[in-house]
Amino acid sequence: MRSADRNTGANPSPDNTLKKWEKPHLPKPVTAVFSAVVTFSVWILIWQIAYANIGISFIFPSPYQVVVELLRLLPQKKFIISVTGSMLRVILGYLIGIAASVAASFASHFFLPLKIFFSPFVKIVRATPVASFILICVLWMPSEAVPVFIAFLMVFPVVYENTLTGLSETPVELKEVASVYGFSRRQKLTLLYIPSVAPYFASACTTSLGLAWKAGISAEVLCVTRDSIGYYIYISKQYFETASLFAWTVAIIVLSVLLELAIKKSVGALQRAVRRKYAGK
Amino acid sequence: MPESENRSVILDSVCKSFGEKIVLKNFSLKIPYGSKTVIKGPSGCGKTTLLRILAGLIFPDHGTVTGTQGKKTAVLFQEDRLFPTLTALENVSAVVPGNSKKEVAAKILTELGLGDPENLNSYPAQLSGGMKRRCAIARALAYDADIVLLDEALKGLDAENAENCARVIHSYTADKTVVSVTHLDTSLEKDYQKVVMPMNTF
Repeated sequence: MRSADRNTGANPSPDNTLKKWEKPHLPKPVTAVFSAVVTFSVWILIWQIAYANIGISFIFPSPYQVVVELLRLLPQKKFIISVTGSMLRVILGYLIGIAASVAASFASHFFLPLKIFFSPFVKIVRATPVASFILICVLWMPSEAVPVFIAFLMVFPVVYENTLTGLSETPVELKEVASVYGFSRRQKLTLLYIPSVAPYFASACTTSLGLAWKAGISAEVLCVTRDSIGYYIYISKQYFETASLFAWTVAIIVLSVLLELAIKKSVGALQRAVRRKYAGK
Repeated sequence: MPESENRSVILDSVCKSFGEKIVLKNFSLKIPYGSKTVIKGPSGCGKTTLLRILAGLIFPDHGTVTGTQGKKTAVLFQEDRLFPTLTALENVSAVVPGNSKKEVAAKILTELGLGDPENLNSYPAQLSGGMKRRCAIARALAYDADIVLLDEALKGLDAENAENCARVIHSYTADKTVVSVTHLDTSLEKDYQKVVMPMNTF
């Protein structure tokens, strides 16, 4: 093949043309870690200054007190059980929400009456404060089921609307190609719809996980769900154990970050697997 | 009605408008089975609209099109319209009927000068404009259709590649009905029956 025959812009070679003064002094990962450590330290310092000014531990504990409390909680059986319970409930609601919303969005895309049917539901869920849903649901279902249902409710509109947007942006030109060449349903799904939906779906999965996690824990607090993070947050608040309240909150934040990372990796792996499995078939 | 007449593609008083703009008005044409027809005319005269009607992608407002129903139709669009998530080989093999999809696709791509493994396994974004065009041509030929519709088939190809592509298209469409639309004079259509569409003044 003639080298001039190829579109070199699509295959960029490593850029060796950086001027001397443009070269970074540190490798990228080192710079990123350094930046994260500095940012984190600044916020801890602000927290410490706030604590020093307030001076009342049971209203506003110091970072040190929270870390000590977190280290005390970590090895405890109740911590392991409650974290596992909360994660299982939220992940269950999240997965049900994703499955239902993807199915609903595909059905709505191809059958307009369903889109009209789901429209008010999605609007109501988006507009209603999550606390209202939690307090209504607690009347209807056991407290263990409320976080699952609330996580489902948080996920559904986000994934549904994003998937619908992805479907509606499927290139018409490629739809025509599929129509002319008599593509099978599987080919249309894997070559037309999945590539169009994938970026919207991936973004919706990440966004909705954060929503589901926060709303699920809120549901646990309001429903006082046994063996849950929310239950211990509620107890800590009842007994003015503010350091404990902060420690549980830190645990929620760390778990949220870990869950988000796991979801990003899983969605990426899923996209690659689909592409490998169905490419050209 | 004789068999060959029955298999001809016949456009009878076809009209098509887009909003206020009339693109085709009472256009009639008979394309005999197995014939090669080139429809020529200036840009904007309705050639592509006619091709899209023949492909069944749009329908005429008035008039009838017969002889295309139940027949396999391949379309080489004016734009290449390759699937960005598939390699050149996969783009072509995706339309090949039956078994040995990849072998058939690789054979046609090789004839069109894209047989190098690097080209076969390249994604459209990694191919030049001419390579993408040849890949799109390969896809239209690989479908083994009864009717082949070509829209500016050799657009963007250099003289050497255009000559080779014309030869390959001839060899793969010898027994097929071919309708090509173009506003250029290319080697592909030199023996085709010529139909000139005037610039519409509706």
